[in-house]
Amino acid sequence: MKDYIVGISGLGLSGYVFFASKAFQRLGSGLSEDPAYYPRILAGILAAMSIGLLVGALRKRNKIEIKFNRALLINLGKFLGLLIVYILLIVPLGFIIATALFTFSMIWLLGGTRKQALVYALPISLLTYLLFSYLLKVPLPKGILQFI
Amino acid sequence: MFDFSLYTAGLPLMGITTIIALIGGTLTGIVIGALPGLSAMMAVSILVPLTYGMTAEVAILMLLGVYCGANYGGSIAATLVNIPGTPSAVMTTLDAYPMAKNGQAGLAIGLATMSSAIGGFFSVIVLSMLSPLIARFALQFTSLEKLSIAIFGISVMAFISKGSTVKGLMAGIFGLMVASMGFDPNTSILRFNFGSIYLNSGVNFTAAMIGLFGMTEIMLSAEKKAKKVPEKQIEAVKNPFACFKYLRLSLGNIFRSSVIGVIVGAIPGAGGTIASIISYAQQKKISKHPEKMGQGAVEGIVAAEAANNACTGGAMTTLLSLGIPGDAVTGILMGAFIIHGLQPGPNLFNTNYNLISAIFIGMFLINILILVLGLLGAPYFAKLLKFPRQLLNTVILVLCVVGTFGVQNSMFDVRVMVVFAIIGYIFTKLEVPRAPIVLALILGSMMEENLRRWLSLADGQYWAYFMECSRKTPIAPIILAITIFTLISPLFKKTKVFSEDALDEYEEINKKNS
Repeated sequence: MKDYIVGISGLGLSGYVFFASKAFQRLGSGLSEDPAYYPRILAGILAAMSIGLLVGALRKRNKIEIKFNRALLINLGKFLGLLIVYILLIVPLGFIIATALFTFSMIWLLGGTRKQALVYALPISLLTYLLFSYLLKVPLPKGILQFI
Repeated sequence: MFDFSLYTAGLPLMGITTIIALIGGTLTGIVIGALPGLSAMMAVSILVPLTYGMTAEVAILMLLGVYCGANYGGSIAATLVNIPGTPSAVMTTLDAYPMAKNGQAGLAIGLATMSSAIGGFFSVIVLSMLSPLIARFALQFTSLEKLSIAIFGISVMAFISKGSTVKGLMAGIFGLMVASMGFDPNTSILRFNFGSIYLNSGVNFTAAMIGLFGMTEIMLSAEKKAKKVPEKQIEAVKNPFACFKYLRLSLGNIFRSSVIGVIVGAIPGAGGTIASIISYAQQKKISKHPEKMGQGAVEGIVAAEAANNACTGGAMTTLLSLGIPGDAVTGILMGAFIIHGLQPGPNLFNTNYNLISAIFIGMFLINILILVLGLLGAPYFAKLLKFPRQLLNTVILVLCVVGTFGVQNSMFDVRVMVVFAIIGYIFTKLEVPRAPIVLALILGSMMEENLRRWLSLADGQYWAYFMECSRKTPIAPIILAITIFTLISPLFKKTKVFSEDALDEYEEINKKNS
């Protein structure tokens, strides 16, 4: 099953690269002046390997079975959802608040106790903020805490 | 008269800041290495953004400290909880864990520390002697040779990675495709920017690395239930200094294993894991008591640890003299060089003589630090294993996000990082190795530039020009021939001896032990 997915995605990617590179303007007649030349070589090799992988999988008669671990997928969805919300909130809320909220929920999601989450969330956020903005001079977004 | 200036020119750079960075880096490396699930690759990629404000020599030496420290630190978790703290400590678990179960955890960690430090030391000597010579030779390389070395590196990486070589190569091609995004190097025509100006100069390397090796690792480790740490052994890390009783007996073993480590490390693509597998197997062949290996034998620990730390010098030799990373971690290190405006490769010996010298001196010091910090700190590092997993993972997630943001103060990079984390996760689930992507990302632009330079020199007469180049120096065709041979060798032989697949055999011994 895995080989089928990898092979078909590989074929898809190489097809995309091949057709997208048609639009590149060519400045001269030589191969070195053709911006599409190198991506197309890569696309060609990738396509050949994908076909090889697919043929190999077919010959081994790999079974096509789809197994999903529902609990795992839900957890993964929560994890990514939390991460994306965090990244979206950093600029409007500011780094400190967004990170404190994120660490609180993430510790919890990863199996920590509520007490751990409460105790550690703010210190982690503050320490990272201090480390980056004062020691390493990275201007982290302040968001609604503009006064600091 | 022999010119020693290469070994002393760096001394003025070793100021107090550099030394502090060196100690801090090595200590951080050991700690990260000791924590299972946090690899050297992850440590270096997350810490690269922290070095932006530093001068080049401070930054590079700190990261080298992290690299070597993490390589050694893996042995601590291997000894105490039977989980390699970093992948290259896999072979150490075989003997160190049984020894710890017999109540000799201190001795096991001591032996690992001693052989790591001596192996590392040996490799620095080789590095400092060989790399100037190779660099002088490599200065004559033309685009064809550079191109073939890059192809060789990515192919070897694909071959060595666990699982199918074809999938490894596909991962490499994927990395090369990503590296070709943005302005075309010859004509400045935009390619694959998906309509976003942020992608005009391509994908940020550091963001991609942090995603692939920082965040992906956390996603994978969050899935697994953390192994309960047996309290008793952690209390029992006593008297690591006992290891010196075995020093005289083990010298031959350390020397052999170090040689294997340096050679494997120097091969582009091959790293510590392979080195320790080969040296362990070698030791088993010549051992007087091969049946004891895997049940807590001193020689097993020594062979595995000396080899995997000797790799560091070997990998640095290829990086400094050829500009090709010897393994995935040095690939990320190469990214750090570039961020600080340095292009690793033979030219570095002319343009940054002092820095090269400082790297040699720094790596000597790092290995002394490993010995001192390792022996004195063993009981404390052991306590780290009790640190709650979920806190650690959360902190690393935050560091991944801020670190990526800090690269160029861009939230777009953070999004790129998350995309690569998801790609890395899917790749792992589909059993496609991630390591070839690093090498491809870092070598991609160099590969394309050299390919097209060569094409324009050939001026339409490709075959004739290839033959002409090969007559001048046969290096390129030889490298290409070795590459092809490596890739088709599995067709002739069933087992890949020189690959991480060999681990499966040892994993069974490991299961029996625990």
